[in-house]
Order: sequence, then structure tokens, then C-alpha cells
Amino acid sequence: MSLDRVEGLRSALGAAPDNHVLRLMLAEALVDSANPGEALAEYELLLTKQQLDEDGLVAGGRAALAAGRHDRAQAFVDAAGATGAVNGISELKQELNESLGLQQLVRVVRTEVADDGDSQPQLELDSNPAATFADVGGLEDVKKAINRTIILPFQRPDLYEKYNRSAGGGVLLFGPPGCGKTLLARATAGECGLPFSNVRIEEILDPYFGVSEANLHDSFVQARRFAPCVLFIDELDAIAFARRKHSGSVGRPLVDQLLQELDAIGADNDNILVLAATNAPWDVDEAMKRPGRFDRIVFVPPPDAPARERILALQLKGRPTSDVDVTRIAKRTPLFSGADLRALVERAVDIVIDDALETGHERPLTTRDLEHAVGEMRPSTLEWIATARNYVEFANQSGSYDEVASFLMSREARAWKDHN
Amino acid sequence: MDAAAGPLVRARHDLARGRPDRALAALDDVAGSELESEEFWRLRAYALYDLGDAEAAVEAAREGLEREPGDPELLDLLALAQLAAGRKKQARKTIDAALAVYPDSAVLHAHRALILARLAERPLRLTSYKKARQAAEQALSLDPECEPALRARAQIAALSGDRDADVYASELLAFDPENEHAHVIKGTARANRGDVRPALDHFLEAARLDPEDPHLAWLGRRSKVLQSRFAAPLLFMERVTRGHVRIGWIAVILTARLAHETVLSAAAFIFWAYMWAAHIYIERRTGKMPK
Repeated sequence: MSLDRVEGLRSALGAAPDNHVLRLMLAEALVDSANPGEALAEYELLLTKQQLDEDGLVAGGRAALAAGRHDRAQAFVDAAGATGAVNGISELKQELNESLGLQQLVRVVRTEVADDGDSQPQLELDSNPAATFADVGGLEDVKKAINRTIILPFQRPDLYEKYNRSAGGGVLLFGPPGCGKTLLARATAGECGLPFSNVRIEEILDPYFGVSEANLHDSFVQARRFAPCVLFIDELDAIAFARRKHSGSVGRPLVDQLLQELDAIGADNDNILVLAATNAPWDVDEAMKRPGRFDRIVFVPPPDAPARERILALQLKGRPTSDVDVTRIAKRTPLFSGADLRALVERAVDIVIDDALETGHERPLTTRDLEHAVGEMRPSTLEWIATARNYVEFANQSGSYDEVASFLMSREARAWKDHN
Repeated sequence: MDAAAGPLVRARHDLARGRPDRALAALDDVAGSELESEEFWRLRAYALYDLGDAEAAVEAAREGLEREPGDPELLDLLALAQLAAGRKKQARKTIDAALAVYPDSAVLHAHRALILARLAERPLRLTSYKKARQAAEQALSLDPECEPALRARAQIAALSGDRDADVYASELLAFDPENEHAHVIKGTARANRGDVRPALDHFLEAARLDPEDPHLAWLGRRSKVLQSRFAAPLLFMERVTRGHVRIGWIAVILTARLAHETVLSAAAFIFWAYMWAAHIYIERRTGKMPK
């Protein structure tokens, strides 16, 4: 059947060799008939004529990998990167690295303090393998926004130069806890292959007057030294807290310092990508959200059903399972965060272990175990959503929470509201 | 950069920026000799008090006072936590003890005023806020710009139905126009005077300034619903008590019966049905008042 189709498509292409749709169909039919080498040739032709869309580029890359042509697979990955494509590219890159036995590592900015008190920042390879977008289940829109703002300017500098748009800037990720904001930041560093500098409030705060501000300044100086570089500020609300809400005057210079750093007074922030995450965007000083500081404010919602399916599949990978219906579990877990889903799988595994200890029979994990665990859990995002609902209702005059408002209108969010 | 901040520094920072939940989480990381420090218990007491766990705040404040006896801040906090826990008499004793040592503290006098105001509320007795008012005035005589004193004075005036409550609340708002509590006091004062619509605007503004506070969010939601077209005709009822409404209804029913007025009876029935519908609508849209 498949071979007949291939022959039919070949004859049709013989009559109309410039019909790219037919050629794409032929390439797909060749992949289906387990002939990746010939499929790759067709994909290559389409690539040369720039007739492949995002899915076509991924399919071409996969055909190249199946044909054992890593160099060609890399060419498809590069072409996809240049078009700004996101979907499936990370997975393809990961497959390519795995087949080559490579492990991508992130270079992190670390500061060693010498015995004499002098500190010397240096780049080190992180001991953990780099996360990529393939490790983040769902959140396709968020990945696209990050790709457009952060990754693409480094992959297509020509395009940005043409329109006089400099690389760099700030992106603020906000949403309920456990939904992948920090993982997204790490994945961004993994995707663009830039050095990663992590700024944590614990490393900034100091009880002595002026030292916290100096620490914050130092972290920006280091990032500028290693530019282009991704500077990630976790828990932005702890550093850039709303000055209106602050009861003392001691903490305010810290907010002012961050504003100065973002505005780069007397310094150059080109090629510094500032990525920040917060659970409480309402606690972040309004001045931070003005253009030129955090240009893009991206809502990272709890994963939707397809994303939950992918997260569950990732969590179940490598564990003994028996026909687990992840679609069914995903449908039963609205508003569960990625962290909740991980806890859910752990709890189901505990049930299986208890069972094994009791009966002596080591059976695999089943859908029933997961359903049993679902019955015992509630999503940890509910409290955040209740607070967000109040902010949307009373403090959304500037439209800052429009994305959250749309999310709250979703069937899943409303279902929980009615349930409570 | 080395890791400079210990959990106590972090907790202090989180408390100052209004995140007692994070402060408490940071304090969970405290270990060793710091667990025995007065600072640890002070921060813990403040965090628990801000989170509304008054009983635990009382215990933490006591632990702090064991390590730093006579600390005015801790005594003040202990008194407020005792008040929040419903132990009014203990609260008064504590604040008086603090004032015996620090008689010139305007904040302590302001908080004493609040405690006296709560002590004045007793069932089946005429409530007099005279002592509370005097304490607030004393606080303001010590420091005319003391925010807690201005707040206590306005709050007591609003509670007692004082005509000057509106003026006091305005003074408080002039001091900080973004003070959500000042808007609540101002709203209460306006509502007491019968100006229901502006009162609702103030409640809404309070909810806008701090939607995270479940009480303010509930108040804001209720104000919004009361301003809606369906419920707005009932706004006048916010000016009267339930007793007034009952007496009004009895009068209407009696009049309709005695005068054999079918039209009046029908109108009364329709209005009664509308009132019930509006009541159910308001309750459904607003939800239960948070505890």
C-alpha cells in the first residue's frame, strides 16, 4: 500500500517536478515506508528551495537522523533555528545529541572568594546536563515568546540589526509555584548556549548597610563581563518588591539599585538577557514593568491537559508501568502544577511499593494506582489562583493581568471555582 | 559574592516587604544558637501575628520576652496578639505594663486606645469609648504625626458613630492616600452618615490597594455587587437596621390589611419578592464573609 503510494507520488512528481506539496508528501510517504535515506534526499531538495515549514524541518531532521546523517540533521536544526521555529526543535536537538553521545552543559558564572577577600568571577561548566525546551512539558506559547525575545536575536543577529533592534532586555515570567518558571529559565540558557548567571536573594541580602546593593551591582558587572549572557533573577518580588508595600526604608535602595542596573546608567546592557521569575507579580515594583526594563511579562499558567500528558509521560519514563492511560489521568488533574504531577507519580509509586512489601509481588504501576493517588491530592495552585482572582477583579486597571483573567475564564479554572 | 544572608536576615527582609509567609519559611531554616536568640522569637511573633495566628504569636512573643524582658516592641506585640486572640483583659495588662516603663511612647498609647475600645464593647451595657478616645488623644499629643495614633483615633470615631470620624479618616488619608485601612475607616464613617455610594467607593479602593486581604476582597466584592443595577435600589437599606426594616414591613402589612388595599398588598408582595431575589443574588455573588 505504502509502496504503491510512493510510486504514485513519484509518477505525479515526474509530471510536475516543481510541485513542492507533492514532494513533501513523497518524503513523508518514504518515511512511512521505512526509507529514510530517500526521504532525506527529498527533504534536502525542499530545504534548498526553502519550501519547508516548522514541521517539515523537524521531519527532515528526523529523517536525517534515521538515515545516520548527523551532519544533515544539524543542517535542519540550524535552518529551523534561523526561522525562529520552536515546536519539536528542542526534541530534535536532544535526539541528535543523544545519538552522538553528547551531553550539553551550561556555563555558569561563579565567584570564588580568595583568602584575602578578593573575589574573582569565572565561567565554569555546570555539573548537571543543560535543560532544554524539550524538558519543559507544554507551555508552547511561552516558549515561543522566549524564543522571539531572547534566543532569536542571537541566532539571527542580521535580522535584528536590519531593523535596528538590539539584542538583550528583560523578560519576567510569573505564575503559580511549581509550574516550570525556573526550569524555563534554565532551558533558555540551554537553548541559546549562553553563560548563565543565577542571582538569588540569599546571595544578595546582607545585614550591613549598602552591602546588599553592592552585591546586586556585582552580579550585573559579572554578567556584563561575560556578555552575551543570561542573567536570571529568581523570586524577583523579593528584590524588586513594591516600594509602596514596604514598611521600612532600609530595603528601598535595593529596588533603586536594580532599577539603575536595568537602566544601565553608565554601563552597557546590550547582550545581557535578564530573565526573572516570580510567584507574586503584584509584589513587584511597578517601575520594573516599564518598557526598557522587563519588556515582556509572560504568564506561565498551570499546564493544560496535553501538557500534563507530556509531563506525566516524562515522569513515568524509566519506571515499570503497565498500560498507563496518561490521557485519562491528565483529564482528572486540572490545575495540577508540574510539581504536583511529580508528587502524584511519587505517591502512586509509594502505593505500588507498599503493595509489593505486603504481598511480595512486585507489580508494575497501573492507571488505577495513579487514580487512587489523584483522589488523595488537590492542586497546590488553588491558593495562588484565589489570590490572582482578587487581583484580576480589583487591581487590573492597567490590564497587567489580562492573561490571568483569560486563564481564569477557562473551563478548568472555573470548574475548580464551582467545586470550591 | 558569597552567600551573605542568613535566615534571620531573610526573614527580616520578608517581613518588611509584607510577606510573613515567606518570613516564617525562612525562620524554619534557623538552627543552632540563633534559635535561642530574642531576634528569632521577635520575628516569629511578628510573622505569626501578621498571618493571623494570634495564639501562636502570643507564645512566640512570650518566648522573646523571656530572653529580653521589658522589650517595648515585644510587649506591644504581645498586647496586640492577646487582643486578637480575644484576651482583652490580658492585653490591657500587658500594654499598661509596657506604658509603665515607656510612658512617652505614642505607639503604645495608640494601641492602648484600640484595646480600650474593644474592652468598651460589652453586651447589654451602654458602650462608652471615652477612655479609648482619651488614650488616642494622648498618643497624638506625644506625636501628632504618629500613624498608629491617627488610625486609632479614626477607627474609634468610626466605631462610636462620631460625626468627626470622616474628618479623622481624611487626615489619615492625607498622611497616606494608599492606606487601605484608612479607606475602610473612611468608608465606614461615610456609611454611618448615610452616604452609602461614596462609602462603597472607599471599600472598593481598599480592595484595589490590597486584594490579597480576603476581608478587603470580600468587602470590595460586596460593594461592587451593591452598586450593580439589580441591587442598587436596595442601597437605601444599608442606612437602616434590620429592626427598622421589620417595623416597616409590619406597618405596610397592617395598613394593607386594614385598608383592604389590594394594590398596596400586591406592591408590597412584589417588593418583598424582589428583596429576596436581590438578597440571594448578593449572597451568591459575594460569597461567605471570611473568618
